[in-house]
Amino acid sequence: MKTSVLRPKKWQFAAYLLPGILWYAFIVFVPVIGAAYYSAFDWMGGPKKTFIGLQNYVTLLKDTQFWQSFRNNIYLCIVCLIGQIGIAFFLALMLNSRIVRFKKFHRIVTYFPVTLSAVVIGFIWNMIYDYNYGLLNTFLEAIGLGNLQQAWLSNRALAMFLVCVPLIWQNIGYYLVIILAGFSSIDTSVLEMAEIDGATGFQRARYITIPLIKNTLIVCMTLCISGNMKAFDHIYVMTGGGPGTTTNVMSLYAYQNSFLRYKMGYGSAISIGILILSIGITAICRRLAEGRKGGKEDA
Amino acid sequence: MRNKKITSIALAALMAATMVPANVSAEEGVTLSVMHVYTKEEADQGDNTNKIPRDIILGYDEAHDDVTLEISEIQHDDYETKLQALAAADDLPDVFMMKGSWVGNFYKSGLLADITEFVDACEWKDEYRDGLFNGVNIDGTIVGAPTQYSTTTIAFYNTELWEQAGLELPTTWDDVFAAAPKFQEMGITPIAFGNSDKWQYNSSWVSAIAPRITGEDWVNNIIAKDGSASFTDDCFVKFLDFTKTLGTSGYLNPDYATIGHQDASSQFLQGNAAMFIDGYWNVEYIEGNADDEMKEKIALAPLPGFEDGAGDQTSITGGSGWYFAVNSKLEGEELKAAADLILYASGPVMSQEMVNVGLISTCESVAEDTSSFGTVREKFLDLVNAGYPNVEIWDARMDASVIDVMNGQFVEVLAGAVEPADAAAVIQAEYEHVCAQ
Repeated sequence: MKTSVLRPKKWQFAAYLLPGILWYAFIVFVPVIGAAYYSAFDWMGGPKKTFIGLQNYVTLLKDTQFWQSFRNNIYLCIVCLIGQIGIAFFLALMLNSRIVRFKKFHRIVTYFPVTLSAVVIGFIWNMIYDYNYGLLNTFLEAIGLGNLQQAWLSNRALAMFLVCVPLIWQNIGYYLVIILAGFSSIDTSVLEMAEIDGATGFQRARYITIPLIKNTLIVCMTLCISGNMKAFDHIYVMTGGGPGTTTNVMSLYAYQNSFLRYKMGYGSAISIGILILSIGITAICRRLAEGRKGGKEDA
Repeated sequence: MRNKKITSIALAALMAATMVPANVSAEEGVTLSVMHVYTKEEADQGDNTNKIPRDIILGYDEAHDDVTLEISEIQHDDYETKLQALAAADDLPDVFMMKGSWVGNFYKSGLLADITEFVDACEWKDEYRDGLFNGVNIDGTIVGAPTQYSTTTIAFYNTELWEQAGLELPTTWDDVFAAAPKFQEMGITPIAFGNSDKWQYNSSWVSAIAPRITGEDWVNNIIAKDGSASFTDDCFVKFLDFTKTLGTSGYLNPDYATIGHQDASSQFLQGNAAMFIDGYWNVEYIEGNADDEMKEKIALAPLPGFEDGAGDQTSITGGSGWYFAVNSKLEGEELKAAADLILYASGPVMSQEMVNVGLISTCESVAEDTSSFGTVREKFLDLVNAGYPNVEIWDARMDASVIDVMNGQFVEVLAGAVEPADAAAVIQAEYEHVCAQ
């Protein structure tokens, strides 16, 4: 009886939530709607705008540079899904095992890069890849592989992978924490039982841990894909999309169009394109991941 | 209830009354918002290219009781981003600085005030160096005032290395390419180059090298957008062929695409490269960073030419890369004060102070005392005053979107990833798009 007196009425709930919702709507939906509106104009910035309907989107569909950037985003997603979540999962398993000592220390060290600014990380890795004084070239020299030394980020075949490495390195800790939280929900007796039954570490991971934290992994995957579809800062600092357009990604391309070429209207159309593609790909991946789970349950 | 109404009316009246004097005082004087790139931090470090214009603007504020300036100083790179955002939002300050390549765009968007009558009436308009208003003169309408005289194409040579190789300093690219293998044998990079931001090749190389192949008329026709020149013309493709030869020759430092011009300059200053191409800003960089022994070894010259070239083979670029401008929303007294301010800040008073410390500026001022100038600065003054013909700085005169597309294509051609003819077609497509606007 007491609780129902203290419990706020429904409209009170709504009233308390309203400021937050309004604020969120203002900073998230208004810019998106604004971008959608501007994308219908040939607009160079400033007061003069010419309405051109869907012309910007027609251009976008035929823009090979945009689709190259899109392919780079997809590449980034795949490499980071394997790198970030894969390594994070592996580390989480290690941290959960009994042989590893100083678990807290490892967790802090792994999480530390997450707290750094992307710009700082970009600069650090630029120094690592530097041709004359870089850590990587110095290391190769030291171990007698001096013939492998090169201007790393100028290598068109490798550049895209090389800019993925810092992204992976930075975000492992983030997914590690989420996966560890997922692990804590698994009843330890299940794992102990499997161990007594003679299951190897790999078998335990494959048949017990992964199925039980599947939802956590799907959350990680969603975050990873949506994060990498809007990747900008690392690449902006490290290569600016170069050499040429080798490491250009969609958001960088939108920025270049809006602020270097003054095509605000077209830049807005690209942003809307990014939004649609990101939602689409995230939805497809979730459908695939959840679909597989559903199929298994049937079997 | 009635009392309350009376009170509120009285309060409203009081409020209105107190607002009036504020308006009156504003009418007595003019308040202008000003945004520029001359920051206190950089001025305090002794950088004269920031300190002098900054002091000139502050001095103007102090000397004019009827004008109040609200100044925002923003560091160069941030300034570009911020001003672009303000321009897009149609929220520009009253007086601001703009890059040459923004002018056409800003003008078409109706952001710039016409200051032609003020320039015509300006008492020192004849003291400006030739052509400094070209970039802000749109069919006879002047929309800005120059802030600088910049020379973006200078070849710096390490004379000691050329002597060691037993070679004369080159005058043609054939000379350079013939000398390069010798330097490589010596373990020296023939040409130091840093193009990570992509504008470097355009500003410091193309603006001078392209007209040596295409001729100056072709470049001027492109700038005039009169339809008589096209980027797919054979002469420009020939220039792109040169670009490809240069980029794939192996004579540039292998990391040129990922390092900046200052990194390349420091390679040159450490004696690791025989030559380096950059703009006037590198003169200040060398004065600040090289030791005296190195400064003695450096020779400055126009870029090498071609024996069978079309235009003048010794030209250097000259012009203003940045301009002061006035917001088109200003009218009457405010517009007059703003125009007065920008002409003062670009004029002979500023120029004289610049020249006195060994810098080249907007007017043909003569230094009072040259004894304190550094070695390289003196060599630079000699170069500028040697009477080499001037050519246009491309990224100060052509549209920003064409320049951006061009810079991207140059990178591809240098890397040998795109054929010259294909790159020319891409640039031409963007150029036609801009011409059609």
